[in-house]
Amino acid sequence: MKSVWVIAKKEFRSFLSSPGFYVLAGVFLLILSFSYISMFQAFANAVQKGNFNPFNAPEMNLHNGVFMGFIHWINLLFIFVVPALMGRVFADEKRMRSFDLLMTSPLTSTQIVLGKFIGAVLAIWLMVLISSIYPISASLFAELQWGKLFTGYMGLFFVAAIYTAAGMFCSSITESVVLATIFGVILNLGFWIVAWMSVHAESELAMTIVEHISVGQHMELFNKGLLESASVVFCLSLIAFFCFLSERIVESARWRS
Amino acid sequence: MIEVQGLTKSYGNNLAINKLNFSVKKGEVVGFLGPNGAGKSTTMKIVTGFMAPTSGSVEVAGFDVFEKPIEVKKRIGYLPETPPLYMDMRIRKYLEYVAEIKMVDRASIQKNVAYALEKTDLSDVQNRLIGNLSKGFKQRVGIAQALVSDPEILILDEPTVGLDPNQVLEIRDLITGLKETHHTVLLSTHILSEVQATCERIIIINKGEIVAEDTLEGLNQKMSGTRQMKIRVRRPDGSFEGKIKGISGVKEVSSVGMGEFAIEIDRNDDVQEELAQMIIQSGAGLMEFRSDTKSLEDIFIQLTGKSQSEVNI
Ligand SMILES: Nc1ncnc2c1ncn2[C@@H]1O[C@H](COP(=O)(O)OP(=O)(O)OP(=O)(O)O)[C@@H](O)[C@H]1O
Ligand SMILES: [Mg+2]
Repeated sequence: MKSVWVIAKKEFRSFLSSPGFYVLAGVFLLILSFSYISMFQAFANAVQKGNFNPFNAPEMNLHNGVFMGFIHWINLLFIFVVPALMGRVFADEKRMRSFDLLMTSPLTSTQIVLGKFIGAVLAIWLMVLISSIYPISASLFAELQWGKLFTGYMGLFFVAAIYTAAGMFCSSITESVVLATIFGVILNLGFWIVAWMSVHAESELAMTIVEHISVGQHMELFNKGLLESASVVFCLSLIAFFCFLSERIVESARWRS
Repeated sequence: MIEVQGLTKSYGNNLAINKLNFSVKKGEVVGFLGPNGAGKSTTMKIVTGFMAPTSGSVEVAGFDVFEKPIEVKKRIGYLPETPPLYMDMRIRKYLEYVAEIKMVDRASIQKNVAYALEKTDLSDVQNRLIGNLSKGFKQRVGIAQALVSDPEILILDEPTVGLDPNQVLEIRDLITGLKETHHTVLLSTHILSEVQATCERIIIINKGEIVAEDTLEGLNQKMSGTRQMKIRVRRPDGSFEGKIKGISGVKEVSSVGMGEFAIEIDRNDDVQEELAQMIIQSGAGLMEFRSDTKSLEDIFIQLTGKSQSEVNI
């Protein structure tokens, strides 16, 4: 356990000492600012004109009008930002041969993978936390629905962790940071395509299945303020699944070549 | 301390090492010598648990590398061919990290890091970013990294590659020092003077097979049952050569000009003494008398070159 923590600390530090992290976090916050401002303006206009369509938006309020969209945006950006940050996690170690140090140290593959995952996910959660300055600053002049915001953010922490685990897996299968990033984006988009498929599914059964295995659907529930154990279990299993796959790949490096 | 049995590794169809058997005793410094592509690095990667062999077994400190990898890895300091460095870390922080993952206990980490820095002459640059270091300095950090857990066993793959002559000497001193502190060392190199300077025993490997394994003297002896002597005298007369040939144990005498003779004798100190006496008594005016032992280089070329021609046939 101590070794996991040692690796996690090292990974977290190397995220925070890499210029790439700040560049991507900067771009992320910049895009987020624009979308936040425009959503806020749209909402303010709607309120002023008092022209809610009670059928389209039965519950038009600050949360549904701004923060649901805002959280969606973060999720959308993470589909690209997280793989870009995770690309180097294993690929660089292998390319630079520092991987040899991990493989010849008294560490199990599980410890290596868990350490890397924890360090990386903490760094990425830091971005989630920073994004919360928008709702927090809004709370200075408006009444927020803290409960829904809280579950929405829970959802963000979960999907960020899923993308982190998936990104780590993609990084473990190649020595190229660029390839790892591309694989990661494709995989994350795949999670969404599944959500999109659910709308077009033929049978009722297929629809329910697809809905249940879609990250997007579960995120939607969190965002609506629903904290369902099925969603939590789904997210945790997906994280565990990709950590497990990464562990298998790292372990197999001893047997390949 | 290290027991290797029937170790075989093939990369696809390429047989890198073939049924290696050797052992390294506790406190021994053994040199692993061989030309490029002989399989030195491959063997070391398997012994350190970096990768699995195709077949065969390795035991380190009584533990099987594949059944008890953690126990084995705790005891080994390994310098791979490419030093395993993090370019975005500072030397000191990096060594602290290595010490931590090598399970050095908290109380000893600072002491061990200071020791590794001092031994590799890196104390002055300990806060430099590894990515900005020159090749030789990176190599030194690689050595420091192997030392930092104060392991019982050191496995060093070409430790002095890329170092300047002063550093080469210092690293050799370091290795000699490790012998005094009863560390077990297995180092690979194709620099012959390096094994000559540091190793008690040599394993010569060629094309994945061990072609010789002995102490330096043992190798010298094995390579030729005879000894080459070079002498120079001031006044060789016509009968001089004949007189030498008359000594029993002298195999061959040839004049190499200007009173110099190359004499091949049995590897026997009595013969050498008799030869010396005879020359002096002959009154030819002895100027020089030396044994022209085969250098390790000759042995190396003879062993690794020969099997190459065998393969070619
Ligand atoms: N990853 C690999 N894939 C395929 N073949 C390999 C691999 N690594 C080594 N080999 C082959 O195995 C053989 C032994 O290589 P190895 O690196 O062990 O030699 P070496 O004795 O360390 O040589 P050098 O003195 O050049 O470092 C070579 O024929 C090499 O081509
Ligand atoms: Mg090599």
